[in-house]
Amino acid sequence: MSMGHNDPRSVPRKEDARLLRGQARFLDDIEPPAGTLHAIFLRSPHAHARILGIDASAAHALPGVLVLTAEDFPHLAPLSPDLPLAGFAPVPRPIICTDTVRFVGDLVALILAPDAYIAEDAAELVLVDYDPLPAVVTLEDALADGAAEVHPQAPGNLLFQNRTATEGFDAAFAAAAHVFREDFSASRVATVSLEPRGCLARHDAGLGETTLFSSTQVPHLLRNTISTALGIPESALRVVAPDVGGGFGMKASVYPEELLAVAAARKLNRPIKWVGDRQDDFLASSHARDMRFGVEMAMEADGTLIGFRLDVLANAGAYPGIPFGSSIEAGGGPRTFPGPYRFKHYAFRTRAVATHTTPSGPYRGVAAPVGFMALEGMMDRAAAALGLDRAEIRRRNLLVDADYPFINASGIRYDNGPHHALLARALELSDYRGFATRDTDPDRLRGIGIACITEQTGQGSARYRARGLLRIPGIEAARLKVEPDGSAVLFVSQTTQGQGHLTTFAQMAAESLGIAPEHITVQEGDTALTPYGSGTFASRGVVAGGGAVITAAETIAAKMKRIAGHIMEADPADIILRDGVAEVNGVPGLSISIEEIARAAHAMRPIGMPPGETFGLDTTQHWDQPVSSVSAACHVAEISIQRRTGQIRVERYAITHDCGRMINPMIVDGQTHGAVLQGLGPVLMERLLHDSEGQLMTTTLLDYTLPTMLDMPDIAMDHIETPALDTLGGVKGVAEGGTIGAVPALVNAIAHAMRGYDINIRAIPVRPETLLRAISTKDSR
Amino acid sequence: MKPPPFLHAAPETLPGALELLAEHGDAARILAGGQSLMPLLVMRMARPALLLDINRCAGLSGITRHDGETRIGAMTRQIAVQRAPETPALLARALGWAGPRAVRNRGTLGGSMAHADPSAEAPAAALCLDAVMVLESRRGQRLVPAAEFFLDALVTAIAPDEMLLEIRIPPGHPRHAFAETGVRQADLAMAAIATDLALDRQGRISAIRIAAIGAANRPVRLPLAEQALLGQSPTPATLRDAARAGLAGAEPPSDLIASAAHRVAVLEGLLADAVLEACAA
Repeated sequence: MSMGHNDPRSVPRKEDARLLRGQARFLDDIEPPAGTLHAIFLRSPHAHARILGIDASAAHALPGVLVLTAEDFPHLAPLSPDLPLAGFAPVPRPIICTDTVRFVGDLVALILAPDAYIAEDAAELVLVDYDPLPAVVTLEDALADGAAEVHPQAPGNLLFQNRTATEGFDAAFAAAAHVFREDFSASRVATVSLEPRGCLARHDAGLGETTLFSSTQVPHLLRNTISTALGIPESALRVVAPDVGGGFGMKASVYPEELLAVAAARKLNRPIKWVGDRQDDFLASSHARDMRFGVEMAMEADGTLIGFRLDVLANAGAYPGIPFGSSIEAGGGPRTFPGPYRFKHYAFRTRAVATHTTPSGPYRGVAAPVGFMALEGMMDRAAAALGLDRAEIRRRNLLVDADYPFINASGIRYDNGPHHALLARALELSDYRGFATRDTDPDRLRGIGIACITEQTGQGSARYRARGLLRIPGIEAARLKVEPDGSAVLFVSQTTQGQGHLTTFAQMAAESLGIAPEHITVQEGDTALTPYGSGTFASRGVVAGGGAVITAAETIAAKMKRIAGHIMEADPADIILRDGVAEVNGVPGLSISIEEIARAAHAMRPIGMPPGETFGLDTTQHWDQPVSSVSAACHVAEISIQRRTGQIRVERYAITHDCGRMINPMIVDGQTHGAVLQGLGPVLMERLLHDSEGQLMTTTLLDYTLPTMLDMPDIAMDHIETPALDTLGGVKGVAEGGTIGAVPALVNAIAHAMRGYDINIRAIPVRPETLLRAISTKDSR
Repeated sequence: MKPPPFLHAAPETLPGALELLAEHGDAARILAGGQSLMPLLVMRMARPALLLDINRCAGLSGITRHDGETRIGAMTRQIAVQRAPETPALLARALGWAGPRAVRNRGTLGGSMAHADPSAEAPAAALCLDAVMVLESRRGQRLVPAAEFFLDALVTAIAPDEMLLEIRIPPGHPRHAFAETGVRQADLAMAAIATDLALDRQGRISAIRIAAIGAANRPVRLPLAEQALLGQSPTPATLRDAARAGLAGAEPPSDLIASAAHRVAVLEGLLADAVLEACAA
């Protein structure tokens, strides 16, 4: 049960009626124009091979079929995501393979046909002569002596590496009363959005303009990347994200299919439509979280943290992704690790490792779910070793109010964070103390786990420059236009895939405009309509996009107050905008409607504008969030394990949560619920599996088991709203914390349930098979 | 995920369908509810030249009783079978595990039998209940007991020119249970046990049948477990010994979902659970 639904701010989502009535327009709902060619991408069946030749003659014999290979796109330059900084190997990503394929799914040819059926028939007839080469699949393969190299520019298969230590680190560690060590690992997962990727490219030869509709989170970045790769002015390109059925970070990357669709549409002067299927998505959409965290934790005798030493590895796959680059997980791992704890000493080595597998990219929480599994797993281990309650060891180390503003060991600034209150309330909500009274079923092993987490949100330009990323501006923008009737249109540089922007941004603008949210239309996702910005990822919406919305709304509100003051002969400073009218503070009964102000601003009213004021109520404002904003949560998961099958069931789940001032608590709850399920999957059942040759064996939803609604626990949730000091409007970002918290809370609960057995839970997914083996080994003794 | 070209025929009579089958044999695939066949078609794992759609054929669905025997038309939708008062309780219960509601609305009982997915629930229930499959062709009709019907994963005794017409289930014992486990709630079975049994006045097992999913690449009966339990009271020790005896020679599949050893371990637990539950019912 969540509290959010009873809050008056929880206005129903504007998006929902349309979505529920089937009126949404996803990529495949766009009617293909006459003459459209349907695309299929021919992908490598080998993890690593040389292409000796491609024979497409049999495919060309089918009616209307065209097969295009690298030879047909001689000017398509490979793309590089990273700045030429120390630690980054200069490895670009080819758009279409020329002579070498580097993962199963790497793109070899584009097959075009009058419909998708014929295109698939044709794909079977294209004969590619491959000379298979040795492949490295796992982190261990890639780092072994004499391992095959994925790229000559990346010796030792290191795409990115970084190491650092705080001053006095070694001495502090040497003097520690306790040093605990553990290695944690996570299996690779896929981001399975309900709607796979897809795009439709249309070229107008007369105007020289190309429009690309794509199921993407980043229309402006996509346009910018296409422009660079194809040498087309951005002004001649329009990118539109229609309704998008989920992205979760996976659609925040730019993919070769999008670039090739535009290149082919321009080359052939025919519309090109591609709708990816589930296998395309499993093979060629970014994978995530194939990571290891080696952790050493130093503590005082009483359980006070001294510091951590990390050795982080991330399997980055065959190429750096565009635009997040090879450092997305390896860089993010140590950056997000410190969490809500106070410690001074920090050293890490981190490496992004190239393998002959699908490139990794951002997925909800990026490295943090694995990082917090490691951090919170260490806290539990220390509690056990020191004989402390697991809540108590956290209390001894959580940041307190006197610590703020706090700069953590990886340089992230925290303006505030009610971590003690979050923990205390979560223990109440979950009835942590009453656990023993519920642990009574002889057929089930029961456990309870705590996770205290932080979520870094709202990154701005400074963060992306510091991360060495070339193609992510980090800024956002909003254009606000009040129409002559007093309604408003808000154009935002971001784009929505279910986050509720159309509702939330309207609510944010309404606060200063005095226009009801239902009279504010939010437009997103079309580069021809919206100002330039970065896109929707990394929980930046309400902080970065919202910052631009607030600035634009305040700019227009100030102008409306000046006009209202002029009409009512009052000081603009005394004007209050609310409920559709401008009132004069302290003068009851004196007011004019916002519609009248809007008519005046459009020269449709007898009284003109104030002297020197221009016509129109129209502004574009940019926002660059200067420092990240840190949200926080405490998750308490209670699970049970069926003693005879090893099956895990989530029994109870509680979350306390702070994302600053909430705009729409119902949307915050919804974001958190969905995120929890995306944390539960990788702990209990999700994993991508390759064989030793690099063949992906999990390419359908039968093999790759995703949780369903039936696996979703009831969640008790409470918010402790602590307005941010470092953002506009006191907001902090939200969307990833649910995943970041669910992974460690569930893992710790499973470990707790297995407390009487000889098993060390340090890898996900936790398989019933492993648990049952440990249970039956002991029980049969 | 688009199928290769195929011919589509939708005869409105059984003789029409059997004639097409006689003509095309192996090259034809029968389309019933399509819940398994359609994914195979779009992944190009099934490539029939002729898709023989029997959804318009009259007289292939319905549930009737004949001298205690239940006769279920092959095209009867799983949801209808599950809900019909005539359906043996064990079969209805097994169908409760057969995928989500939307799948059961469309999927047919005959389709599930003929497809013979080793993880499917209805075949295990049919085997447990000694169901008889009625196969029809232009050559005539023959009856095949469930024990001789499921030959291997996705392989049955149906000849290329034959069609499964009806499933006949003789009267069963008074008690039953169905226990299953999968990766998720409501998922494909990784392992399952179906049992129906009778108790004598002293509470001893006087008759018992046990079928397993996940013990082989097809549903199988566990005769050694049945024998071990006959005449016994269901104590934890007898159940454990019977389960071990029943699964001693089992050769379960080892795949991405579970290893063979894990399937055996889980089946032992499920067998004990299922028999206990049936006895307590």
